[in-house]
Amino acid sequence: MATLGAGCAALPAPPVVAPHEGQPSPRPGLQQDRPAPGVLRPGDGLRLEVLSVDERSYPQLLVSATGQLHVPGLGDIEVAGLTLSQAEALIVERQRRVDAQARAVLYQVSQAGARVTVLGAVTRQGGYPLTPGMRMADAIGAAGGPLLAPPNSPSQAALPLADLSRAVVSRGGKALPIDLERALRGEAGHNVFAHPGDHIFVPPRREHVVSVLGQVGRPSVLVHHEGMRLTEALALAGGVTRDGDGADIRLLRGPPEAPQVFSASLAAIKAGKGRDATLAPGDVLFVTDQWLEDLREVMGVLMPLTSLASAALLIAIVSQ
Amino acid sequence: MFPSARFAALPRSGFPGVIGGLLMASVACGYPRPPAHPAAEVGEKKGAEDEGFEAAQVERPGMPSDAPHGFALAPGDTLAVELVSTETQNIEGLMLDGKGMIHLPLVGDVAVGGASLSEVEQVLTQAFHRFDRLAQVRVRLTGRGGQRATVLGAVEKQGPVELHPAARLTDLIAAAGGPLSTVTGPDPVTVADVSGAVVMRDGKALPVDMQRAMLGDPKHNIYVRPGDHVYVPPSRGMNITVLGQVGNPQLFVHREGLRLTQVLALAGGVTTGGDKDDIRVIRGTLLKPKVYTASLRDVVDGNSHDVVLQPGDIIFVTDHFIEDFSEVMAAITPALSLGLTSAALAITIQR
Repeated sequence: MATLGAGCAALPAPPVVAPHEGQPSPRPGLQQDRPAPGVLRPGDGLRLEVLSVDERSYPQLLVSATGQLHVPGLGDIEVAGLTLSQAEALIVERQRRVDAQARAVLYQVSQAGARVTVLGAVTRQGGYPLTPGMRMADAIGAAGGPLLAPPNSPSQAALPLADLSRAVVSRGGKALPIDLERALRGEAGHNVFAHPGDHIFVPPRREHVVSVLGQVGRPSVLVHHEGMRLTEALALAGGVTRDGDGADIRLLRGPPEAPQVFSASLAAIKAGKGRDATLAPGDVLFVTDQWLEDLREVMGVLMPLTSLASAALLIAIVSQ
Repeated sequence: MFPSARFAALPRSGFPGVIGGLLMASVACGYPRPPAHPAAEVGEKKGAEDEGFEAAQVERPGMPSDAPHGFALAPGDTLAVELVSTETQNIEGLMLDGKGMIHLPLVGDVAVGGASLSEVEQVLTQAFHRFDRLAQVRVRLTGRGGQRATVLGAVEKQGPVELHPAARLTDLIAAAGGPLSTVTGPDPVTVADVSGAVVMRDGKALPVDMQRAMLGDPKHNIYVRPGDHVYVPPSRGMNITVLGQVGNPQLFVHREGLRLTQVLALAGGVTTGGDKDDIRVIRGTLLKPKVYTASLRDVVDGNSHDVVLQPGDIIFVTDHFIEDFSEVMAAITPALSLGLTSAALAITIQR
């Protein structure tokens, strides 16, 4: 049956690719990875208690964008980049110009200045406070993880819609050479410490679907997963219909400008002669019409004609 | 199963394909094949109609020297003033009015809008010196109601966003829940025109590109200031319409790389009555549309390429001629059979 068509005799069988045959990531990862130092940053919130002639307490002072802390009565003090105790010492020194016995205690009440921004295909986009020891995977976790697609069938796990391997982590205006896909698997050099101001953009996956159309129960677009097989995709699309030619299933692969066309046969797979194909992201499956279907269509149109003709013939005979 | 040799002479598409092909030659020949990629069309796109549109796409250079700015009081902020003299007086809840003024006892209205807290302390100390030479003034910020920027348009949560110091453009967008998106089949598609977003400051648009800011480019991911106004327009004319003989005619949001086969699968495939050899792609402006015809059969036979769709494309799957024919037949058969039956009846009665 597969030799029937003019075009399909020349079509090769689709290749079988073993899963996990992906190309090595071009991003080498970071060699040196240290957590960010624990210093004060613009946006941090501080509580100050001053013991001088009078006792004062300021529950919420914010470090400004330029790194200054305004202490009421003392003016602006540069604190960005200092540790908490260094900042405290500076405040005490200022206060002692007025009162030699003054004391001050500084507490950090918020680390809002240390934030990581996560945008793109994640569950909850937003800016998240950088907790001490936070790594890339934790940052993605704080944003609710990668966006998931509704599964192709209830028995399947939800599939990620985020292309983590193309995610961009920028720090200080430069992209880090790390691969978030590997970071989420916990690989050293990729799952690096997050720094304040890190900016993560996770693009959505693009060529991640398999389209199934032609003579199938439910023409549909399925989310591809690694190791997805032709038979699996056909089953998810409702199987080959009665009118479909199971012996000539076309597989389009490659760029739309010049796709390669393969032909697979369910009958051969059933008989153990052919191999099931492994699908690649972006593949298009097309189940061709059976020749009987074409014939049936023509017959369906001709049937009323023939019955009319025979009736007319009958009348002609009778009237004679 | 029939022995395949018996049918080897039958062409793949069968009888209707032959006639269909002949018919097609007369019907669809006027339309060219669509180019595989919209980019291939760029050369011929220089119509007078498109020029104005092209000119609107201005490259935004970004802001290379964007230093963070220090804290400045804005209308809506609330201050607490401690007046330290022979006795300490606490004045809480002083909100800056629309002109940046606060109202204090003795000294009256004082303009503090745009000043830092230290500057306010100096101004107030001087003002109070007229009444009390020993007075010391301590000022602290108790409400940040003025430290806001507004995000409107195609974002998840429109409205004002309270700015923390050193907030950048992406922090603002993130606080607004990110660009609005929807899901086409299994695809997340943003329905916001992110690169068309406008950042207004003091009545002027800043030359920044939100798309590049989202990727972390510091020239575009600028520091936001209180009062900044961001508008993210919805993407317009970005739909793809699928009509005609498909299982489920509908609209899809365009996204980069969407292919004809994929859109047909999303729309439930070509129905039995549809012509797989004549799928029209209508592209271009409303006044000067271009019509192409694509053949799904050629694509799956490897004789043609798939089509990458452009925003605004209309896909129309035409009726197969058999479908037209059978429709006509279905319409006239009852009449014909009625005629024949009455004729037969008449003949029978005559006899």
